[in-house]
Amino acid sequence: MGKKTIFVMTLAVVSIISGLVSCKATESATSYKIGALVSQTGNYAGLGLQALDGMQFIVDQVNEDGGINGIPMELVLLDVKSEATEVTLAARKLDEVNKVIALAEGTVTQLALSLIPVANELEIPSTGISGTALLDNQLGHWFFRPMGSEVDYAFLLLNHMSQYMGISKYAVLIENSGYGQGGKVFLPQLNPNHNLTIAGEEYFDPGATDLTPQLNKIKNSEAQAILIWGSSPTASMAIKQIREMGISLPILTTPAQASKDMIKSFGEYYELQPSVVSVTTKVDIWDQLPADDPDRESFKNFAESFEEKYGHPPAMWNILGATMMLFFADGLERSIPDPSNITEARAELRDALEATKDLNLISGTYTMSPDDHYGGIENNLVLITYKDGQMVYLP
Amino acid sequence: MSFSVQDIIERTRKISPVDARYLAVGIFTILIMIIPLGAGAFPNTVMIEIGFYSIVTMGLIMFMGFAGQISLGHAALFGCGAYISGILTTQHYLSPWLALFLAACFTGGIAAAVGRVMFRMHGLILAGITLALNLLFFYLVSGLSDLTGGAIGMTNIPPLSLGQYTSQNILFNYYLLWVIAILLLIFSLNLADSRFGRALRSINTYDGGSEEAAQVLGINIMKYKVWVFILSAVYASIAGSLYAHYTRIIEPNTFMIQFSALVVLMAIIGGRSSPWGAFLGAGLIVSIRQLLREFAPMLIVGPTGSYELIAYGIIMVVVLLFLPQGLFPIIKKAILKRRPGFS
Amino acid sequence: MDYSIALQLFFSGLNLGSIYTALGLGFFVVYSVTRVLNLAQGEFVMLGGMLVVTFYTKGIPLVPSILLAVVITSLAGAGIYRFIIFPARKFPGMTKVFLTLGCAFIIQGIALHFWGWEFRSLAAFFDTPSIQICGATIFGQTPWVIGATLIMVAGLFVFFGHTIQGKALRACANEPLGARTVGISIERMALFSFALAAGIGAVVGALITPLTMTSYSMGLPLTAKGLLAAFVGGITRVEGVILGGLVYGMIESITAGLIPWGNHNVIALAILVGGLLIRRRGILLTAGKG
Repeated sequence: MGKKTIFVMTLAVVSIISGLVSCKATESATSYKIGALVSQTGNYAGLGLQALDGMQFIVDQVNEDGGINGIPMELVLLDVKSEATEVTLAARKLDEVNKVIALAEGTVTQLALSLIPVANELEIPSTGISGTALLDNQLGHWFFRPMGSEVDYAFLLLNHMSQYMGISKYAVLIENSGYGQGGKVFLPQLNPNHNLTIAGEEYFDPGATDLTPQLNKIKNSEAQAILIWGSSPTASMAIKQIREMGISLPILTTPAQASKDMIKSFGEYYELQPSVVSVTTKVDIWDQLPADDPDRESFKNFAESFEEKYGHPPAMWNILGATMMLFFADGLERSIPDPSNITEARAELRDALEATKDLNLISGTYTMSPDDHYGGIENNLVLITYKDGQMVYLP
Repeated sequence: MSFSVQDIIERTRKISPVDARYLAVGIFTILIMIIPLGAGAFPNTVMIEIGFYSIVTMGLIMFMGFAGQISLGHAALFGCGAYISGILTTQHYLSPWLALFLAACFTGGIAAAVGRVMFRMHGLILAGITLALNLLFFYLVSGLSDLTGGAIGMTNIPPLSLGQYTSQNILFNYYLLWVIAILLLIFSLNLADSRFGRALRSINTYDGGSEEAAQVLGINIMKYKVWVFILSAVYASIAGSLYAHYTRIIEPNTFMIQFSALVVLMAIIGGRSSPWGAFLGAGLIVSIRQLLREFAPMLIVGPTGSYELIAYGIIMVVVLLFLPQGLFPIIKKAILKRRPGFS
Repeated sequence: MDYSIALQLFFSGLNLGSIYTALGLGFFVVYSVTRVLNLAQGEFVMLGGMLVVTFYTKGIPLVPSILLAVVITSLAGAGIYRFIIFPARKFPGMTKVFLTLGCAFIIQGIALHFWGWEFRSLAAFFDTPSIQICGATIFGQTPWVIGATLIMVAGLFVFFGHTIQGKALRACANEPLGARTVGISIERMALFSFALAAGIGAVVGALITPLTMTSYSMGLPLTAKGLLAAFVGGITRVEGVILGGLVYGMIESITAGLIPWGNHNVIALAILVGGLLIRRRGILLTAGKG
């Protein structure tokens, strides 16, 4: 047997065996372990990493305050690489090896969706970031979605168009993605309530170069405004191309365009008159809220302490990540399960989560029930516009 | 009667190649069957992942290694199986088993149609065409949202079931997948040793064959190429269906070019001359990935995805430069060293 | 159809067509000298774009930023040839193709490590404003893309057709043994072709960043599109690459403008692949040798 052969065989055997063995290491349970399934790489890495910061922020805050009844919370992080298969795999690993009490998927709809069957099979209370109500009929016994959905903020946008802009026909530019699909399904259902009709419906791929063919059709349609529905950077780039084409229709957008990065890249086009109107959370503009707004103080605290720690104000996905952890922290506080008996602890936590009542989670106020696992009663979402690189509250 | 070591070696020396083949498959089967007894659910999930990749890679090895063709679009064939299974079971309420079968037939049919036209072309241009076909598939399934669920994917795909067991049960799925993988392995091994396999090798320009020579000998090159492509597609489709019924959700991103590149990597590392290479390549790559995930965070702060990519690249380059036939021939040689009778 | 819509589709097609042509040129250079399909070409584009953005945001003016990016990327290309492809020069063509795929993984990983996942964008070169012609728009960056592509095309045309050096390069691919006999160093020529292709890739990266933004994972899809453009026209001739790129760009633009549902990519790709399958050696009947 040559040296080369021995080397190769040892390499193969060692890596296969250690790959399997390394998974078996178990840990003792002295904390509430929460599995964080976050995309650190792949198409949605940007959103995943933001959500992770938000999650870590709340966990640190809870622990600084002495944990939950003295027991600290702990995040166990696995990169799911923006792939649905990886979510399934990672969930099983967090279940078996790390014995987590709960799972949180912190990226986008497709990935949250792939956690639902696994969470219900493994019987782990779970939550995921998804801004679409498409999921709500299939959450099952163990999955919760304490997030706003397009139905809520589409209301704001459509209402703004019909009430303040006096518009009856608009064009919609939809991203070919899971998120875009929500808009495609729900907008036609909501339009009649606002006496609106869609004058043009165009699609674009995340990563597309040149949207002029689609935009030209909108330009030549009867649309009086353009609604952009997407979460990729291309959706923000569309605003640049619309203005460069000399189209001066009002533009309305979903929350992803109101991120600091996108404002930095395309802000000058956002601000060209008529300036872009976006949906975002109240946290972004807490300092512009009226002094009597009941949530002003809590948003101020959150935004200021977050900025102090991370050097920038909380962005949308920071807030969504924080929302999930606050949701779990509240459930844990009400149930105080014993982390050493993981099966029972999970069941107790799940029951507590289902009994969540009037809980303010920064992104909204939620009440859950056995047949309502999404339960937003009031979303803390507002409309904003842009001026001098800043967001301006539109009351 | 004596049972000295010398005697046993003497006896094994007399085993025919065919017996040796079954002996190897037998040992492999026993190994695979006993792994879950000692391992927990997570290592089993990793093994299941290896199984999916192995089946696709095995198909690719037949196409690439036996026939010397290039495919950078196997993710599309894998996706074909997954999506057809998904559509047939969620929209037409067929049994998942029947769906798996029909998906394999359909994917094979597509491969036959595409292959017939595609193989009029030679060599490297196939790489470009298969790459483009992979992109085409991706856009197709993301666009046909009424049929495929579009970018959000298909959900609630029913699991495969047998009596009271379903493929949601990890152990059931493990055995189901690996039994199928081993059956396909036996089929591939026999095929390689058949008239069909030898004809394929004769047209493998990559490893010293010659299409012209084969043609002179009266081998219908086109027919053989198309058939091996169909087989390869059927393998990928079976893996795709199994995958769809296992994860119960599929979305277009899984079937992008990156997956195709990864199976090519596995085939090259494992060794494209034998179906065994598929298991070696898939096992090695998936294990390395798990190892990096396990240990890299201890050494490095921050995301570790970049190290995975670099590791894949370096392994691929090193294997191609120093072991152009992949790992399998080396291991085979090591095992058979003292038995000159084997080929 | 409305006149301005047709004009807009034409401009958009020209814009995309120039990008695809420029992408295809890199494949052409390497292929026509070494008969290798360089699957890392898209990564050179990504690398070039990333480097330009990095230098530019550090305060270096645009032109020196691009030059620096081109130099660094060319060195990377030469390095890849010298240390990875050169040792495998006696191996079959397929091995070399897979080696470039390995390089693509490595470059992608390095880019992810240094630049992270973020999308990076750049303003149009020298803040060129967009132009309106008869109701259709040309983006500020488009003239730069077309201009730079034209210059590269002209340069390659002259170089390969009318200089000794260029003819020597072609000879390497057509008749390696003969080329060696007359004293051409095939290895040096191949090294040069990789460096040149990488440099072209870097220029393309700088050109498209203001239009598409750059991120670490954009290489492979670009490789696929550039390769298709080159094959459609005919990969062994500059004219073929230009034709292929323009045809691809026009088809993509027209389908995006005319097809009412959101699936124009499928149609565009189907037309191209279908066309390629029927006329299998490209429009100019030059592809598919070797």
